[in-house]
Amino acid sequence: MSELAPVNLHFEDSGEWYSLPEWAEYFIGVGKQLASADHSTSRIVTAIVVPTRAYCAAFVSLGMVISDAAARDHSSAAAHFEKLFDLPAGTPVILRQTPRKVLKGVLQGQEEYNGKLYVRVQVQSRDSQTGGGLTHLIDESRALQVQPAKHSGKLPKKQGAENKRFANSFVDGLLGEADPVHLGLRSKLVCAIVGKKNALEHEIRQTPLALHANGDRRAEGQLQDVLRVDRFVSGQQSYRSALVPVGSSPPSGDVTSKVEMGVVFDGAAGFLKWGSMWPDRHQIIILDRTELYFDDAISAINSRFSQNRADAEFPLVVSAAPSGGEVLAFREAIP
Amino acid sequence: MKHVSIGSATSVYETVSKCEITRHWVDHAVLADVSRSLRSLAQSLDSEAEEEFWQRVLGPLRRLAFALCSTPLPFDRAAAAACIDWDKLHRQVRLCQQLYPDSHAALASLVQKLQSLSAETGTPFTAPLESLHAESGGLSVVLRNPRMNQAVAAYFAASAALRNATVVSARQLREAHLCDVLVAIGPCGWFPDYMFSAPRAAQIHVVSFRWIRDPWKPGPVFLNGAGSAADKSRKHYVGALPQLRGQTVPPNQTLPDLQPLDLLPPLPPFGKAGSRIPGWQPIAGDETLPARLCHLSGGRAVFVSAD
Repeated sequence: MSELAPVNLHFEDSGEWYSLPEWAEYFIGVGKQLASADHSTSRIVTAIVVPTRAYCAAFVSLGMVISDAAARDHSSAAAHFEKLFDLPAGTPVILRQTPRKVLKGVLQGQEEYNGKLYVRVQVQSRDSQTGGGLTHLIDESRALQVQPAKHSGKLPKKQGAENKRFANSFVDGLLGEADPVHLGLRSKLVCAIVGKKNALEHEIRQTPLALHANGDRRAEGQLQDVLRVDRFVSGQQSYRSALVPVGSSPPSGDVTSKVEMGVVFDGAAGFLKWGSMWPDRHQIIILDRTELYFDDAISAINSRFSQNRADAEFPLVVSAAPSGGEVLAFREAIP
Repeated sequence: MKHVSIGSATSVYETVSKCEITRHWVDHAVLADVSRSLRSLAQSLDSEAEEEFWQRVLGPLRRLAFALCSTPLPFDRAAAAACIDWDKLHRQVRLCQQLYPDSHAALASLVQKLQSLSAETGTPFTAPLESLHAESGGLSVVLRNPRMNQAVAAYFAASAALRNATVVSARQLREAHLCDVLVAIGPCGWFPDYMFSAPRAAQIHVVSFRWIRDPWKPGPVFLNGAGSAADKSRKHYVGALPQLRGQTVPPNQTLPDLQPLDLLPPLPPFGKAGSRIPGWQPIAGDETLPARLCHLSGGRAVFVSAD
């Protein structure tokens, strides 16, 4: 797993930008630690009591998606390389050579050169008089730099190093060394968030955040840029997490079967209702002390702790609780 | 629904980390005697307390005693707000002499003392409230009985020494409503736990009568004693919790305490309008409200206002 970049997020309040508070970093850290946690014979249950639920689940999910992207191994690049092979020549793509150097391109098909396979990407138009038609050969190790895109396929004679239309500095900055191309290319469910849709939508889609470096605001965005919650993406956009509203309809079979890392319960109601629906995935349960069913949820967790706790050691990076909070983390045997 | 910003949430965490809860005790010998006598009478009745006669008598008495113990209004105003029909109560006392002669003396004494209290033009809550108000320049006050909110707000507005005191509800204190100083009238056990464990004020003052037990203190909610601290299969952490300041029990406590629940008036009866249970009649003085019965998953049900 590659080293995770420190999150240097800022939030806006009354026209001023402030560093993300300690409690928010704490919840991002809780999500990050799960990427390396095994869930073959037992899963980690982390119950966190808080004085207010606001943003806790959203930041935990952010940590999970960031760490999942960083944990992506070589096999992901190989699988992506194979997918590029299947795309027809002429497919519009973008070529992201570095996080800030993004070029429009057109896929030209695969080639073998010196016994090694490549895909060729054209990034300049060809002119009968002046030539041009610059192409790049991309091998498997760089496959994730190529992402199918929606542009017209018409290439300019010369491209600037930065093509901001296709770059997302906010995502780049948050994912650090992890390649954001992959995030935009492939849908998968790193996590599911079970909670109230309105509150979560406000936090994930309508809260402006920014990345700062050396005192300058470098890029703005929302949590949705990274979380890519299925209910909030449009059209062909890829998703990375699922929102399960606490209502009368249970989560779909797709959501219960495809979540890869864990489920974040944003509140007692969702946990009490659907806490048993993901029996083999890690669980993070956010319990707001002011909630109606707080005591019921505490009883349920205490019961599971005393009855199902597995005697397995696990590394927990987080070693404290936020102010007014309480954390109980344990491994629970998977039935 | 009001959305909470990151800034507001940060304020909540900061408030919790610096919150201090201070208890203040007030006293009133006659009200203490009445409260204990009321409990003794109810206990002595045992199963008879369920009978209609005693429900009609004890209901208003408990409502009044509770109003005096839980409302920062002069006793005469609190009694007026409780709408006690004294003529009817005296008739019940006379009837008691015939029906339950064993309990007549206790009931007559109780009614007489309560009527006497209801004529007093002060309350022990005034002095500490005015003192806290003067110290902080304003405060928020939360009551156990929200039906008294309007009367108390009007009293504060008309009082020069409490003009900047505002009445807030426990529900407001669920959200991001923050105030500098919060005063709870009555023991912690009368209020939801979150008011003290997830406080929305940096200073909370609990003003209560000294004969009401108040054992609340901040502490963990999860099971954590099932293993040693070195047990690596579990992790348990408790963050900064509100601190109790000053004395946590009343000084010179001699008489036995009442439990917070001993003083709470009985729940109002619920009846289905139009198709009442045969023989069911509202008890005189009961307040009836239209409500809807909502069945929830998990076998629960709640009444919500029909308005």
